[in-house]
Amino acid sequence: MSTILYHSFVCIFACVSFSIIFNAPRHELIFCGINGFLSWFAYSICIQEFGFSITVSTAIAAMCITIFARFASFHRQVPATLYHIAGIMPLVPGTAIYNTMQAAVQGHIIETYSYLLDVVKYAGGIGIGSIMILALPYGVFEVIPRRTRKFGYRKKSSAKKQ
Amino acid sequence: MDDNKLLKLALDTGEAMLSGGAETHRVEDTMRRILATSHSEGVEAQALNTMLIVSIPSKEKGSLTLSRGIRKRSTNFEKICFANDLSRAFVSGEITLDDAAIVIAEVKNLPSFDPRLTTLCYGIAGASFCLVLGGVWLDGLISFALSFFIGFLLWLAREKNIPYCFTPLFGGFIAALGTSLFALWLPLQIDLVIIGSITPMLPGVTISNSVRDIMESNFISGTSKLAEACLIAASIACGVAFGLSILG
Repeated sequence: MSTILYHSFVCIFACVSFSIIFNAPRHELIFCGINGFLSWFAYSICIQEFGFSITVSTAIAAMCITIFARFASFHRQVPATLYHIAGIMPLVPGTAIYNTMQAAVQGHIIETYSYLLDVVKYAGGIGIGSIMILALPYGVFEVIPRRTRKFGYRKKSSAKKQ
Repeated sequence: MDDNKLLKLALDTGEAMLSGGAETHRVEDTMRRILATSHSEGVEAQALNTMLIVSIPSKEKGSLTLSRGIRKRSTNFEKICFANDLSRAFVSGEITLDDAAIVIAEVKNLPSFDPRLTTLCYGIAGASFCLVLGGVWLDGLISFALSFFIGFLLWLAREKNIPYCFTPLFGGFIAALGTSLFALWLPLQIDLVIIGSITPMLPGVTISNSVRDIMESNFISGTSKLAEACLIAASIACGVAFGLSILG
């Protein structure tokens, strides 16, 4: 359990770094980090404690990410894509792609296809988990108060007109 | 209200979103909402992977249609937020059409992080993923150095407009070659360091957006993004294979 917590904590830094690479607004970086923690935590718990398969664990983790992303996007009045992508990053199959490549280079055909199927499982799990929550209507996520934001770009346009 | 100006505003907003990496459904919805402020029916807004088409019925001139090709695409959340804010403000009436047409030109001057900070973050992301996969501090350090260098190469490639399928190949090659070189002197877990270093280049955004597009019946943009994701992943794998085959 402590390893899971340590890895999830390190994932916070990874997801915040990705959000900086993707040029997210400054005030949203903390939520991206929390989403990263949630994603790896949910995935590790499903794989290690409950013993689910790859697809189910990835789908459950993607569902947790998307639920948090939609709640946060309603509260912060920002598209949910920011938090969603930052949370998806740890789940993208890097290990499976590397293993596919190694097995293909060494000539083990059955292992190549098995690892290729792993890549498809990860991608499919992400898709299924995300789409189940993204298909819900907007009203489900309106339970928490939203912060009020004014459109802040008007000042520049009036300054330009002068 | 001037129909041409409205069409151009919708196209500019859609372009800002699409070149920032938003998914197809959001781009189409935004453009449709902007156009629906003055026409209640007959409004069409289509977004493909590299193209936008908008169309409204105009009383004097029949149907008006504009299209635009999107050449440069990257992931820039600030653009998506800006376009989203602008469309919300315009649709709710906070800002007029003329003001909005001026403000949308500010999309080139959006605040962005320093390129040095971005390159540092490539390094931190690579090191973090190496640690998450089970590496020790030494693996994380080498992964940080390699990811930092790969991030610098990616920034150079963006400045010089190098095609998108070439940089993952080179990045994978650098990651594998660098790890093999370091492994001659240091006790490294080669697999973990390489996987950690290539993770910032993986097409996570593209895969997630493509699956979402396919499940929402935008088949053209979904399958084309899937092809792009497969191409990038295959390039990375080929680069790593080349790099590993040099030093064994």
